[in-house]
This record gives sequence, structure tokens and C-alpha cells, in this order.
Amino acid sequence: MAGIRFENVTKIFHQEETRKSVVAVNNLNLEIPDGRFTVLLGPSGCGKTTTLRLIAGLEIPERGDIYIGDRRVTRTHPKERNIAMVFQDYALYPHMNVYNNLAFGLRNLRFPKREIEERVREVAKMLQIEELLERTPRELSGGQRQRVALGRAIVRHPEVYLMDEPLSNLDAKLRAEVRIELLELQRKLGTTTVYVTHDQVEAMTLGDIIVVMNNGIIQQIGKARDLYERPANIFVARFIGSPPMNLIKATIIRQDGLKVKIDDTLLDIPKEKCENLESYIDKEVILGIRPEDIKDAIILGKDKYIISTVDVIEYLGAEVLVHFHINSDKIVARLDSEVEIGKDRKWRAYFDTKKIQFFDPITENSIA
Amino acid sequence: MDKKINIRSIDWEKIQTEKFIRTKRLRNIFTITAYIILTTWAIVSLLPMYWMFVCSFKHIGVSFSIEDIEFYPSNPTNENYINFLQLDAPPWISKRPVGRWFLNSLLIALLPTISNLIFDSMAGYALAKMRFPMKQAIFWAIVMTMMIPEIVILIPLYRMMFDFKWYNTYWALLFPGFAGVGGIFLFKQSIESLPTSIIEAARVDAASEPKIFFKIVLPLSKPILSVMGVFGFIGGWNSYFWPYLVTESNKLYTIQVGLTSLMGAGGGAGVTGTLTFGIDEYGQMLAGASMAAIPVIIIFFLLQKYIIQGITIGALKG
Repeated sequence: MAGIRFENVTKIFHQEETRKSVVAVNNLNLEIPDGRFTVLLGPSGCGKTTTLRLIAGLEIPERGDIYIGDRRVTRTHPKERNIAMVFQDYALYPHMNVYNNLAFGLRNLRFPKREIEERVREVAKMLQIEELLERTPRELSGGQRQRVALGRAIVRHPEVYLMDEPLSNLDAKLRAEVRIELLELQRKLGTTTVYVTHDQVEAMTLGDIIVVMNNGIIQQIGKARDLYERPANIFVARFIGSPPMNLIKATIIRQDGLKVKIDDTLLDIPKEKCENLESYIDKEVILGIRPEDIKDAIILGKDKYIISTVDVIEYLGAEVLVHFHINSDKIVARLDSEVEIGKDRKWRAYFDTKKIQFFDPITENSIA
Repeated sequence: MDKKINIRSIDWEKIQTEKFIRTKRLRNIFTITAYIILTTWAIVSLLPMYWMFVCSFKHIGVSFSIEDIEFYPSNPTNENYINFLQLDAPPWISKRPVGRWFLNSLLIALLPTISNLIFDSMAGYALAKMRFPMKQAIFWAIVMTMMIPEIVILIPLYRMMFDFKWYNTYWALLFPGFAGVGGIFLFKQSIESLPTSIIEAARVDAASEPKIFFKIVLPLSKPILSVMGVFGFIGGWNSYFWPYLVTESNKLYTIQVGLTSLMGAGGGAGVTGTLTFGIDEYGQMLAGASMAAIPVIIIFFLLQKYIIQGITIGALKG
């Protein structure tokens, strides 16, 4: 087992036809801890897959260095890195049966025949694919192929597992099942795992550590809870959570201490946040609040609320999503099924100010 | 005047049936016409072959002219075959090396085909899946050479064989066919359609580049390999002009060149040191041609599937 370290790594793709260059990974500095499940999360084109491929050795960076454990592997061939990878399309060898798919890597590493057999059987048992060993990938279902792809990685006992959106080709039900299995498997094996996904639910449930990326740059590194409760910038605030965090234009003013003014309503700011907001007095900020932190003021009996106009109510069974707007900002509130809305579609929204965040409108970074 | 039609009185079922019969009849007419055209075409194509086989069993001296056409020999004989192979020729006559001709044809059908499969697939793989500078430029340079008609390069190539001192050797016969642009192009197109992730998976699975090529890429390219193999073999076996151009000694003749050399002094290549044929000895030549056609016919029947595939590959990807 080994951790992975990126030092000032930059990867640029040159497109021969258009003669354009795209910076896929921009001066990346990252430490992936040993034995943990790290998820690289971001929208498509954010550089997460390139980062994974850099670890695998399928891409060579233009600048910087990559270390696996203490070994510098920046320019070494994938076979010298002792890693195993699960591809999005599984990339099973279509002309080989499952047994040979699993054994291929071990044969390349010149393992003795008996050990290959032992390891393949062991992994097949672990993943419950023993009865499939003689079949070719074409004769397997999507879920079975996924297991074989996983088995092909496990059988090698590598230092690092790399997984490139391995669940994205499964249907929703199977995905949820395999997600849990994957987590149990990683806990059992304790091998460093780097997992790429654009699905924040997958990232939150799987990742010990989540690395959010955008435009080839790391936006935030942290545990799921940190990212959710204390997003480092507007990008992370928007990307994590479904529905995402509401972002509302507001002004900080001084009136019996600091207050935040939304529309014409003044809301208190928790004391611990005041210090950082001193320099923003009489300036515009972006206020962030999660949908579940907006509540019905009448039901709670609160007297500080914002009167808003409801656009749509989505009924989801256990909860309702109330879509409303304040000036031009569209806002969603996640409420229990009970909600009281007037005939004129006016709704009194209570903001739980202990949970609010503030962002700088220009740098988009979190300020308090 | 009011004219009322009683809808109930219309026999809808009858109308439907008639319509159905009409369409079916039309479709039948179309099918029959297609069959007539194709059958005629097949007969016209097969007739020369059939005529060749029939005439190879005719007696020496029988007229081969179109007026005396016979669709089956009235009195078949195998003497043309015996004479062609000179089975009963006296030992002091230096014989035609017919066996050698067949061997040479086999060589020119097999060796360049095998080498083409190896080199074209390697080049195709490199162009399809590897990353290296100037890749596009190299590919286009290769493709551009496809625009040059073969006949144009024949003379320079012939001169080259002289300069290499390869004229009238097996090198001249075989070497120019060892790699082909068309093959590279077809392999590139075919290998491009393999998912890159499979190759990358093998790379991560600690496979060396040659191993990836031989254990992953080639086995997955079986269809194109078969097609190229079959076409290469048939093309090589039937090749005539190049072997005729670069060989002088009859020991280097392929069966096709050998056969035309039988046409006598007035016909194809003069065969020195062996018997030459007058116009009357067409029978022997047809016997030889019938024998020469057998391998191609066998290959065609065995590998029909791949030949048809080859035609469609050209149609889809060419």
C-alpha cells in the first residue's frame, strides 16, 4: 500500500487538428493518503479523469512530479507502477473468458501457474463470480461484467486501485447495491483507492476524502460533511447537494451589530461570522443557505421572515420542495410535507441564520 | 339524383384480399426479374470457366472455334493433362517445370500475404492507437500514395529491381508485395474501432507493447485478418503482369506466366529450352488453366463468408 503525491503537476492536451491546447490539469498539488478511499469529483472536463490517468501512467505530465509511496513514477510505464484500474466501460478483453481476463495481468507479471489459479479462484469466490469463469464477457450481464472488471483489479494485489466512474453504466438500483459492496470491499482490503465520479451522491457515500475539481484546479479537499456544510467557494456550494445551495444577493450593514439585508428584511448574523464580515459592511455579498435550512415561519412561530412569492411546489412524498424567488434570485426550500401558503401565493420563509454562509461576489470564495 | 351507397354492402374483406394479392404479385414479379437477371449474369460469368473445363478434356486437334462449340465433350480424354504435365515425354527432352510454376504461384500467393498481414496490421495499429509526432501527416502521406495508379509505378519499380540486381530473382517476384498501402488503411480503420480502453487496460495489466499487439489487438482483428488473407492469396495467385515483367528464366515463372508462355512464339513469353506450342495445343493450356483455377475455387468455397465480408468492409469503411 502507498499514498500518492502530486507536486506541481500540469497536463496539457494539444489537439493536432484544431491546433489548440487545453490545460486539463493545472499545477496540481495533492496528497492522497495511504489506505483511504479518495474520490475525485467534478463536472465533465474538470480534469478528474486526467488526474487518474496520470497516476496510472496512461498520460505523462508536461510539468511536475508524481509519487506513489516514495517512488517517483512521473515517467514510468504503467506496468512498473503496481496499480490496477477499473475502467468506465470495464474494458474486459472480449476474446478471453473470465478466467483469462482475471489471469492476464498475473501472467504478464510471470506469476507461477499455480499461484495464478489460486488467486483467480480466491477473487472469483470473493466476488461471487465462480460459476462465470468459463464465460466470455459477451455472455455476462452489466453487473457481472462490472464484478469481473473489479476482480481483474483485485487479483493483482496492487498498491493502488484506480476507478474511473465504474458504476456509471449500471442501472440505479444495482448502482446503489454495488456502491455499498465497493465500500465494504475497500474497507476489507484497506488498499489506497482513487475513485473518479461526477455523481456527488456516489462521492459523498464512498469517499473518506473528496477532492472537488473544476477546470483542472482543485476547489476543495475534505470529508463529505465539510464540503456540504462549509463549501470553500460558490462552485463547491453549487456542485454539492441536491438541490444545490441557494445563493442570494445580500448586503451587510451595521445596525445593532452586523446584519444581513435581503430584499428589505434584516437578518441577524451569528457572532462567530461577524469578524470576517467587518470589511464587507455596506457591500454586496452572496449569501448561501441549504434548502433544508429554510423553513416555514408560521409553522415554527418565528417572527423574522422574508415574504416571498411561491413559483412551484414539488411533492416528493416525505418532503416538499418549495420553489420561490426573492427579486431575481431563485430559491428552493426543502420542507416536511406541511407547508402553509396564502391564496396570493405569498409564503413566509424563515432562514436559519446559524447555518448561513457568505461568499465574496468577485472571488466567489467563502468569507464566513 | 340521390345515390346512396350501403356501406354494409361493400365487401371490405374482398378488397383487402385483392389488395394483398396485388402487392404480393408485384413483389413476386420483382423477385422473379431479379432472379432472371442474376442467373443470366451468373451463367455469362461461369460460361468461360465451364468452357475451359470442357475443352481441357477434348482430343488434340479438335477445333476450339466458336462455330464448333460443344457444351460437353463427346469423347472426353485426359491426354491434355498428360501432355501438359509431360508425363509421357521422353527423358531426353528438358521438361517444362510445371511443378515449379505451381510452387512459385504458391509462394507469391502466400509469402507477401503473410508479410502483408504482419506489417500492415502493425502499421495500422500504430496509426490507429499510438501517439507520436506527425501521425496525421504520415497517415495522409500513406493514403496519398493510394491515388497513384499501379501502372505508373511499374516502370520505376522495374528499374529499381535492375538497380538492386534483383531482376529475375525471387526477391523481385516477392519483395515489392511485402507491404501494401491498402492493407495499412483497412487495418487502421478496423483497429480504430476497437475501444482504446481495452488496450489501456492491458497496459495497466503489465502487458508489454508487443504482447498487447499479439494478444489483444490481433485476436480482435480476426475478421479483417481473414479478409486480407483471402484477398491477398487470391490476388497473389492470379497475379500475372509483375511476375511476367521481372522474370526471364522459366524456373521463376508462376503458373499464370507459365500458361501464357505456352501460347507459342506468337503469343506470350517465349519459353526457351522447352517445347513450344502451336495454336492447336490450346487443349494443354486449358488443362493447365483448369488446374490453376482449382486452389482459388477451393478457397472461395471455404472462405466465402470472409470474401463477402471483405466486399462490405470496402463499402462501409473504404
